[in-house]
Amino acid sequence: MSRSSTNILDRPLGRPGGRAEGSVVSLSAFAYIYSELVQYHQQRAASISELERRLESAGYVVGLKVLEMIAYRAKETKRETRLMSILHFVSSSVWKSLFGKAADSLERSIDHADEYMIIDYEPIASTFVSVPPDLGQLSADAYVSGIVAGVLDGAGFSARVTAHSVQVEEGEYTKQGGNSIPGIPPRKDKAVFLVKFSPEVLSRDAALER
Amino acid sequence: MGFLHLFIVNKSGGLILHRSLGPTAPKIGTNEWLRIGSTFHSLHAIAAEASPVKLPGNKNSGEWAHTNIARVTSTTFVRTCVLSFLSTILFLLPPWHFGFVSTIAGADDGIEQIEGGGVILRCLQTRTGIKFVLTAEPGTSGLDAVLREIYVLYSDCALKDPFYELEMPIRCELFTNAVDNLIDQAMSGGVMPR
Repeated sequence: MSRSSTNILDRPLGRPGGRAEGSVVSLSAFAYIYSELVQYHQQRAASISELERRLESAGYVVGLKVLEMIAYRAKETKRETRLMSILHFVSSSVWKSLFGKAADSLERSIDHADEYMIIDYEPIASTFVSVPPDLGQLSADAYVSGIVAGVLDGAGFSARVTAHSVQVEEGEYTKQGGNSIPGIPPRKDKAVFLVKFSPEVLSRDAALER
Repeated sequence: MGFLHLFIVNKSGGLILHRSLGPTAPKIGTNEWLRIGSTFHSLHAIAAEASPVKLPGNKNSGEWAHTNIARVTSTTFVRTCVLSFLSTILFLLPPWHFGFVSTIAGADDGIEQIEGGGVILRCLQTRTGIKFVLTAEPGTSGLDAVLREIYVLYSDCALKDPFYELEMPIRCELFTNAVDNLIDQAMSGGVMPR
């Protein structure tokens, strides 16, 4: 059967990485819908933390589904059982499939053994978002942290994931051409997704280590 | 030569943003700018009425860039309005001599440009009635390109921001930063329209 077959059932699924023809969504379309999503929840939330929680729970279900989709599309069917490999899976495969690029870095917290950080210097969800001063610490990437939590939970690594907007230090991140959106100055903050695993996940991983 | 001020007026005449763009910009307070914004809005409406080219429904439509349009006639009436408008509030820079210029690109109706001895004012009206108005010293080039670019930035940074409400004052940090960036670029090398 030829690849260009017109029947939708005969056509191959998009390749992981989201670069296949027709599987890339316009950033503007996403930005408008995301903006509406945030506004919808903002009207119904009494506080900043409730708004974040609402966005996270909206993303959580997406995360579960994304995990199924990526697992199905992957060339080799393999279930990640180790902590580090699932984190690599999230910061590379999941990120590529959702945003078309890998996360910029994956770090382990120095202070807490159960905390990891996934860092994205150009988080897509907050590309056009300016958080007003009265909303203070709100991170517009809470939705993405919900997705990460969904993926991890679905894979059997229950974790609490929170998004934080952190100022980028001078010279920390330099990319040619500045911002990926022409005309808009380079971003001053990065998104840090703090992953805090449950104790049972850590003890299981420790047991596998032996 | 240089840009002076940018102000944005919503479709009902309310000022939603004003920003000084250069060191030579007159120091005028927000209240004054609110007045200037709504006065300009009224003048714009009067000019559209006075235009000899009119389509039914008071809508002068046309090709975005080329056709048209609404050549603002220097009727004594409009002239007087503008003169009183500028002399009361705007810049007290003699000598006054006004010319109404209707040029390509920009608004469908109303005022596109006002030239004074010490200032040029250029306006871009969008399809939804928002007016981007840029003032500059005479001889400054590229006003049109800058206005169009500001329109793009408005659509990107304000309209896609979940915390921006339509018709309300723009308080998006991203937008103001981008405008500053754009003006720097325009001053150093010119802006290529996208």
